[in-house]
Formats: sequence, structure tokens, C-alpha cells
Amino acid sequence: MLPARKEIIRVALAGNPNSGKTTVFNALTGGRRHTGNYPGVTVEAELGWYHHNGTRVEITDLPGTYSLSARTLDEKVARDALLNRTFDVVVCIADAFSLERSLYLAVQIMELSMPMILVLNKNDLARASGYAVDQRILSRIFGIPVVPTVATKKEGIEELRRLIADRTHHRRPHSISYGEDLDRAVERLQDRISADAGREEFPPPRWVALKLLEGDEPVTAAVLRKSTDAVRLRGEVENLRSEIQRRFSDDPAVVFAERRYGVISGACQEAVCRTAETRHRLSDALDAVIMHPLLGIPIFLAAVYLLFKLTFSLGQYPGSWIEHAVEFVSGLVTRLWPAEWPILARSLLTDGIISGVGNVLVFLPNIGFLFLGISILEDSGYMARAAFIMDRLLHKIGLHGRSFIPLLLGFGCSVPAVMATRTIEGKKERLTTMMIIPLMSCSARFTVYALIIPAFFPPRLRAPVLWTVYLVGVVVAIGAARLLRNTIFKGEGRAFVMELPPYRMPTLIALWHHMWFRTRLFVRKAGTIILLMSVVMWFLTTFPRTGEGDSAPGGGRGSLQGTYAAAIGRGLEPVLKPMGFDWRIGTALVGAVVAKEVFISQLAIIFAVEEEKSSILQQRLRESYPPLVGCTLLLFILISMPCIATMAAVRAESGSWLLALAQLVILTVVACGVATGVYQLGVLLGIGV
Amino acid sequence: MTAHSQTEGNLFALWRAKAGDSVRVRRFRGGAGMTARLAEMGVLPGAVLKVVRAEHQGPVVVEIRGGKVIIGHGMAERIIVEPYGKAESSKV
Repeated sequence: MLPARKEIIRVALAGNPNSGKTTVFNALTGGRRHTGNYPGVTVEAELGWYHHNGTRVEITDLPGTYSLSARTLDEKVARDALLNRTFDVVVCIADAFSLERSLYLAVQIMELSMPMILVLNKNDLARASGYAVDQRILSRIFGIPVVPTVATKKEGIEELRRLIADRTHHRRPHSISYGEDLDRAVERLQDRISADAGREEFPPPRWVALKLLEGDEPVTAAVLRKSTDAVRLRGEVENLRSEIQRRFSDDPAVVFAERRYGVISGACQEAVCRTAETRHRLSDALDAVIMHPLLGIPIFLAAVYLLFKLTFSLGQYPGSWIEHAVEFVSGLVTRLWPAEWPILARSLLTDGIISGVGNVLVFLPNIGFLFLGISILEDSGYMARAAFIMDRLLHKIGLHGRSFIPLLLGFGCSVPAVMATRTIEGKKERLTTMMIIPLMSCSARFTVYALIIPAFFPPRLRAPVLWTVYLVGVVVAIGAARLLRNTIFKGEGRAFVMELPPYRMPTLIALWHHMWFRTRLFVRKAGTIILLMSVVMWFLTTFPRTGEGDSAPGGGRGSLQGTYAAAIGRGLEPVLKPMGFDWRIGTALVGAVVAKEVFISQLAIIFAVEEEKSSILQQRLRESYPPLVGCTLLLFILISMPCIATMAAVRAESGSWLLALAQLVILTVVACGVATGVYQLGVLLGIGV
Repeated sequence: MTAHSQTEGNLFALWRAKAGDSVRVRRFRGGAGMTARLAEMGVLPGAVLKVVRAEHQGPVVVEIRGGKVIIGHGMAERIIVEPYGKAESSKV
């Protein structure tokens, strides 16, 4: 079974978001995958592998995109990964069902002149609706192997594996012709670039010439930087571009797009035999209801309600099992700990590390179910409809429909939400969305609300108060977005153009795959930081040791008085007082920087209450603070300080620590302002004191 | 270019079209960077679109090349179209 010699073939998998790329990936690899980075960029990629006749094949799943124009972060990631030139062959998945549209990406990849295999997926759907694609003709036109597949039924996958493993099938596509005039312009520039001493061997000069003519910003900047004769090159590019503009009276980028579609139309005319007119009757009928101007909104609200309902009610059970398991392990360690071993080490293990791991694990079921629900909405095609319905509202605050999915994810966890901003076109819209995501109450905040609200409000008010807190977050987010889009992120709204895919039955494997990928990201990004900070917090709440702590029943942790955490809490009192908070809340808030739910465990330690007895903690809170403080506390938790994991995600996605810190400072200042205002007003009017 | 439609003066922005209309894109108005994305989705000068949905102040949904595309209202203001085929004759 062992391979005779270790040959490795590296494959990049490209395709449109709705092409069934994930299903092909799974069918090829049989589910063997792990996460890693894309070559050259620190963005998580899914990598898979399999063996074929002794050859090891490694597949990198590129982000699903419609184009390689690098106007969204996803496109940039996909393009940079391809340009890094670590792949032996690019497998491009086209949807045979909507062939013309999906060939656009394929043609752009062909322009890179890398060995390529074209896959026509969903071939059964295409056939059923009256399309017959002759792959031999397509293969002849483009000069590369073409394989029809039905990935959901594993049809054509063996053939694809065979082509990938055999290097003799790795062929460079024919070069694309854009018509005589444009070809001449491309060639002139191409010669000019080839002659430039500063340029590297790859990417091919023809592609560089094309991008320069299209006015592609990243490529133009890079080429001019490296060029030994930048001034002349720039002049030449400008001349050619304005000549194209004059001749075709359109932007060169549009002219080239037009020509690509020309090539595609020509190819399809030869290779596609249409036996019946395509219709998506069921899709059209569903859309008439789901996108109805009046019915659409209640359906949308119901879908979101169902999503959260499922997330919290289904996630609750495994969540409590995990909680019990963590307690059990912690108890076991305490009981089995030999008396002669240092008690401080035991405290670090149980209170620091095990409870830190517990903090991460307890949320996993909730987050997993939320991601599962969102994957169902995405894979079924509903998300695009929701974006359509929300676009009108988001448009008013300077964002567009694309911002909707990240914002929705924010109710689960800000970390994957921030990462989901990659599909948003326009840097200003992307950053604005990122900035307001923490205002969507995440599932960790929900647990804090679940503690505070019953402590201060009678049962009949609890649901409305919870609803109000979520609403306040959304309202503040709307205000913040408007403000940002009118000040530092001012600028004209970018194009909102989005495909409206036909409805589909999501496949289980793809759902599992999407859920797993996002949940893993959460664990990797948030988990490690939460764990690390749990240890830091353990240190802050344990030291300096007063000595008496050792004999306390908690095993090394007394009432926190005299620890660094309490010192910080006390130091913050001047700021906290106007909001009605004291050092105890302050100390717990210090913990909330790590993860919002840590607030509860900190409070439990301070009030010397065992954590699982939340009703006692609620009673202690009720005795210690007036209801008004309950209100300001809710507001403060809602608005202030994104957790450390969120900050790390914002820093990674925006590429700027400054922005991550600015977000922290601004949100905390706003939270202080709002909470102080509400508290002072309450005191003045004598409400809830 | 085959001049299928002879009407020269009958140009309007896409968002004014009604659901069910077929229109042909004549040109884009304004910002170059914005129209490139449209072009990539197949919404190009000369392309025939079937308007599936058009609401006041909302995004427009069009059918093109066998698929559907949502176009934001702001974009729809920049796409200049003319009536095409059936919709044209049904008006008479």
C-alpha cells in the first residue's frame, strides 16, 4: 500500500459560492481535512488530502467567489493564494446548471495560465432541466480537461481523481482572445512588461498587462513599485486605457468583462444543447411569497426567531452536560490531589485551567447549533432573500444587504461574525460592519442577562426587558453605523450586487462541514485566548496572597478582597460610581474583558456564592443593589468592551491594532456615557432607586 | 451589434422598470469601479434583463443568463436601459 515514491500533487479548488464546491471537496477527500493557512497569507484555509495510486493529493479549498478581481477580501485571498504559485493544478468548479455565470471565474483563472481542470458540477440538474453540455467541445475550446460530475452522488469523482493524479493531464489553457483591438493593446503592454528588468517570472506578463488595462489597483501598485521605469510604464498604461475608453465608450474593466462573456457565450453556444427552456417554477413560486413586500418581513422575523429558539433550546442540554462534566473533573482533581502537593498548583489547575476550558466548552453547543442554523439558511438559498429584504433598511444606514449575514452571526459570537465580513464589498462598509458587530448581543452576553434580569425584575417584565436590551443594541448599532459612514468611513456606497440562487435542499455533509469549520474557527481563535486570559484572571484574583486564603474552603481563593483584581475594581470606582456600580461589580467587569460570561463566575466568587446556585447569587444581588443598577448594568454589559477574542479577530481582519483598540475605547466610553446618563436620570426622577 | 430595438429616446434607469418587463442595458452612468462588479455578474451593455422584482426605493431583482441577480437601488439608478422585445409590444 505504501507509495513507491512520495509524489505530492497540490491542488487549489476554486468555484462560485453556489457551485457545490464544498460537496466536491468532501467527495474528493472523503472528509479528511484540517485547517491551515492559505499560502502567503494568514487566513484560515481548509485543507484536505487523499491518496490515489500512491500519489498524495493535497487540496486547498479557496473561498467561494464569482470573480478574481480582488474587490472583496475573499477574492483577494483566493487570488493571492493562486498567485503564490504553490499549486500544481487548479480545479475550477462550475455549476453546469448556470454555466455562463460560473464560467466567468473559470475564464479569469485561465488568464493566469496555470494548469487547470474544469469541473461541471450538478450535471444531473442541468440535464433534468433541459441542458446538455458536451464537455468534449468545451475541453477543445479551452484546451483543458473538462469533467462532468454530480458530487452529491459521487458521479465523476473517480474520473476527476484520475485526472488530478496524472500530471500529463495538467495542461495550461489556451489564451483568451478579447478581439483584435484589445488583444493588440494587451500585447503591446505585455512586451513592455516583459522587457522590464524589475519583473519576476510569475504572474505571466499577459495577465499583468490585462490587469493594468483593467485598472486593477493592487496589481498596478505592485507592478509600478517593482518596475525600473515606472513613469513610462504608467504613462503607457494610461494612454492605452484612455484609448480603450474612447473607442468603446466604456470603462476598460467593463469592456474586458464584456469580452469574457463574449468568449463564454460563444463556447456555450457550441457546447450546450438546450432541449427545453430552463425554468425554476418552484423557486419562483416560493419567491413570490418569501420576497413579498408585505409577507417577506414577518417570514424573515419568524425565521430569525426560529433560529435563536433552536439555538438556545437545543444547545441548552449538551451545554449543561458539559458544565456537569467540567465540575466533575474539577471535583475529581480536588479529591485526588495528594495532600503533599502544593495547593496553589491545584487552584491553578481547577480554578484557572479547567474552568477556563469549561468557559469555552459550555458555549460550544450553542454556537454549533447557531452555525448549523445559519448554514441551513445559507445553503438553502434563503440568506440571499434575507439580504434582499434587509437591504432597504441597511441601505439607510450606509451599509448594504451583504452586511446582514455577519450582523446576524454576531448574535451567536462576534468572532466568526467579524470573520464573515470578508464577503463585503468596499473597505468602508466592511470596517463599519466590523465596528458595530459587538453591539449584537452574543450568546455569552445572553448568559449574563439571564442572571441579572431575574435578579431585578418581576417575571412579567423579564421577557420585555430582555427584548429591550437586544433592541437597544440594534438601535445603538444603527446610530453608530450612520455616524461612522458620515465621518471616518465616509464615502459613496459601493455596489450591492448579489446572486439570487435557486432554492436547494441543503445536503447534510455540506451543512456539517460549514458548521464544523466555523465552530473550529471559534475554538481556535476565541478558545485559546479565553483559556490564556482565564489563567491571567486566576492570577489577578489569587495574588497577592494574604495567607489566610490557603485555609479557605474554596482552596486558595478567599473573597477576592486584597487581590489585584479587587485593587483594579477599587481603582475604577470613581468612574463606576456615577453608573451606580461599586468595586465588586468593577472587579467582575475586569473579568468580563476575557469573556462576558466570566462576569458571572467573578461575581459568584466575590459574593462567596457557589457558582451553580445562581438563585442565591441573584438574591444577593437583589439585596445589594437597587433595580436601577440592574438596568445600568445590563446596558453597560451590552455596549462596553468587546471581549479579547473579538478584539483579536478585528485586529486580524482589519489588519490594524489601532482599529481594534479604538473600538474597545469608543464602545466603553459610550457604555459609560449611556449608563451614567440612565443612572443619574433615574436617581433624579427617583425611579428604581 | 444587432440593433434589435429601434427606440432611441426611450431610455430610463433600471429602477423605474416594472416587474415582468424585459429591458436591454444601454449604458452605465457614473462611477467606473462600481459598474465593473455589475459587468462581472453579466449585467453588461447590450445584455437583456428580465425584471423579476422592482419596488419603490428597494433593490431590483433581474433574471440574466439563466440566473437571478439582486441589484441594490443605488446601482439600479445607474443602469440605463431601454424596453426590449415583448414588453415593448405589449405596451402598444
